[in-house]
Amino acid sequence: MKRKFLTVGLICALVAFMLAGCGGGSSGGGNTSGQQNNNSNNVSADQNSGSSKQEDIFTGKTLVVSAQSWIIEKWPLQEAAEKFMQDHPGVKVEVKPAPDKGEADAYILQWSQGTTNVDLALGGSPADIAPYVAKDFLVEFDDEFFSKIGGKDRFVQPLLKQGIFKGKQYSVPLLGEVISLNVNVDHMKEAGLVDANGYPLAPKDWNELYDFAKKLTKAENGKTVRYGLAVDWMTNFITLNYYSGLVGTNNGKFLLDDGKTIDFQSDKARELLAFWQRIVNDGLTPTDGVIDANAGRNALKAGGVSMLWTASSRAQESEAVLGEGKVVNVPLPGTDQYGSIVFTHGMYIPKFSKNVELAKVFIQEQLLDKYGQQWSATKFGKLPVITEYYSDLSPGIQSMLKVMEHSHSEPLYQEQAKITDLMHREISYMLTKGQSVEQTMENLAKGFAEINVHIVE
Amino acid sequence: MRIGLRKHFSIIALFILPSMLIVGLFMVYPLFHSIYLSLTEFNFVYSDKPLFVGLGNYIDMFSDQQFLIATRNTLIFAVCFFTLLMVFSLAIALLVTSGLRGMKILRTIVFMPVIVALSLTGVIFQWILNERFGVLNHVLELLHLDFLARNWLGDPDVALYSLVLVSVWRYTGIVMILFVAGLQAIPEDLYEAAKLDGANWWNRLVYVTLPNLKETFIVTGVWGAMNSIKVFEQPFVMTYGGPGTATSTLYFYSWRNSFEFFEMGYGSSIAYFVAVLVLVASAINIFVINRNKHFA
Repeated sequence: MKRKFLTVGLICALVAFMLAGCGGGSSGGGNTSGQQNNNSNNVSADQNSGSSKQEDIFTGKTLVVSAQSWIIEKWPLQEAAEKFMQDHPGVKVEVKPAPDKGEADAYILQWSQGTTNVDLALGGSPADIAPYVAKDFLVEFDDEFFSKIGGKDRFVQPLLKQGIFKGKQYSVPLLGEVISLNVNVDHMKEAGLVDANGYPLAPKDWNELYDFAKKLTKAENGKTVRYGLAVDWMTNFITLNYYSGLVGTNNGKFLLDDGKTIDFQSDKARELLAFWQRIVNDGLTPTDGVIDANAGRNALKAGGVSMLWTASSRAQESEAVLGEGKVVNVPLPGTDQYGSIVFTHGMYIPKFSKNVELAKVFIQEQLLDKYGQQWSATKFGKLPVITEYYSDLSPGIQSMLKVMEHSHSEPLYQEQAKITDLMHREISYMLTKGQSVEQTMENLAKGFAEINVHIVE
Repeated sequence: MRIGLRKHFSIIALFILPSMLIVGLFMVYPLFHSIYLSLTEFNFVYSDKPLFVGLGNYIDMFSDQQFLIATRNTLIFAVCFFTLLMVFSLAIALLVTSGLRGMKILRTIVFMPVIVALSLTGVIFQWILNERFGVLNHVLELLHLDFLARNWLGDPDVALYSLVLVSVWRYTGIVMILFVAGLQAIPEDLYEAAKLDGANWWNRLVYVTLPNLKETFIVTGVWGAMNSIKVFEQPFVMTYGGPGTATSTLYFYSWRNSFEFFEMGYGSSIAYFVAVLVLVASAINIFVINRNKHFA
């Protein structure tokens, strides 16, 4: 009996040794055997491809890039991965979809355990990334990183600054967005809301925007078949749209003098909320934007609304359906003078990645490359983050560069999700349950005070 | 003899060990850990470590307006969904087992929604129930029933009931199948004897069918009670708890606290409150069925 156990034990030990041997050879990096494998590959890489020494050290490694699923559709990520693998024989790049904003946090649970199965994460506004910085999960992008791509000056500065937390660059922007009106050119022409060149007019104040919406709203047999204006009021845009409404009409301010309290009390805040309630009550705007994040863009593409208040990129996205030049951006009241709200979707590297340097090189060579940046801008209106890439893009996209230069960023609250919930809830009550503007302002101010916010500097 | 027994138990232990390890690691440990978390104040991102607050979270939740709204919504959903689910499922099961022509097709049709992913169901119904482009309002217009057309998901007075109807559509098939199995297990002799005694259809239903479905009612009742209280996917996909808080339910609110606000302690305490509700609802269901004279 003992002999049997001994035999079985020996066989098990032998199998374990064999498996360990196999595992060591195939591993990309991080463990000792993997490192040895990489070192032995350096020689052949030098001889074959004439690649630089820095590239050679990556041979045999696998870079896992995780991107919010919409980015995979709206950025040529797969192409970038293939190009990188061609340029770096022996390196493998895997692109994995991650949940979109508002669905789930893809990383925080895993990174809290001190481990990661992704080397580079794409997507998420600065407010989304703030918790990772707070937990000290991210790698800093230092001057050396930027010196290899010509320095920080090449970037659109308001976009680059969005990746700075506690004075350090923890995220590099992949693309930029700015809040504006996306308008259907044909509808504007039909309503006589264009200038001498046939370009849609920009409303100067809420009264004028109300008049625009009224002229553009169309009814047949007593039923509204086209709304003049839609506003994205779902959780992904409610705060940004509120800030953008206030910043243009309140001399570039949407915070109180303490620099961290959102203005829910001023006359300008009252005017903005009253405008939103009025356009709903008068049937000039649909309310499905309160519960459906895609309601506005779908309606714009279907010709069911004439103006959509949201990210400027919806214009290019809708052009793909309605035709080139049929949807353009015009500034919200006052934002041409005082700037709008900009936000980015960032690129960030978890500290626990074993391929930090490889991820940085992938960003430098591919994700900040002109081709991908312009591809995404032309097809989906996602704004390039390098200034010189704007020069040969359409005038509409070029005009966004000017708007962005004096635009503002959202504050980085630790309690961002609670603030979003508060604003979404109270503004929904105001729009769908008839809660008064005064009551809404009071509830917002009280709710905000109760949250006791902290800003990630 | 003793050595043989020991060997016998060793082999049994060897077989049980993997499953016990899995149960312990993935069920028992998380269960106890989440009980502990529910007794702490712990922001997963910004707190250094959980701060023990005893029953603080359980006490605080009853002064939290959003929690109370979510509880009310959950109870309304549960009562409406459970009642409609049981009535529709039993009615269709009776129809399907009636022997009429085309009933196999009906059974397949009613069961089909079960195989559709709930998230996909949500997206489909977002379109169907859309105020402007939705099929439902369009059909109502064609039938000259325009006055019934609504903003089914955007109107706070209607949205929760829209979710109830979508859920009934989604789950009727599975409960119907359970009822069909129960009905098919009732001996035909009982119906024949009842017929000889002059019992009409209604009498046969009340005095033969229902009493013999006692076990089925317990199973479907417990299943229905669980699914009516732990509603999450429908508001998550279709309304995100809105408009306002019109469709915010307890599980949804627990999820938001845990994974959006990162308040793991408070989120866990709400989850345990839901668990208690499910237990109570299941116990009431079993008690009512056992005490009802029709099921005696």
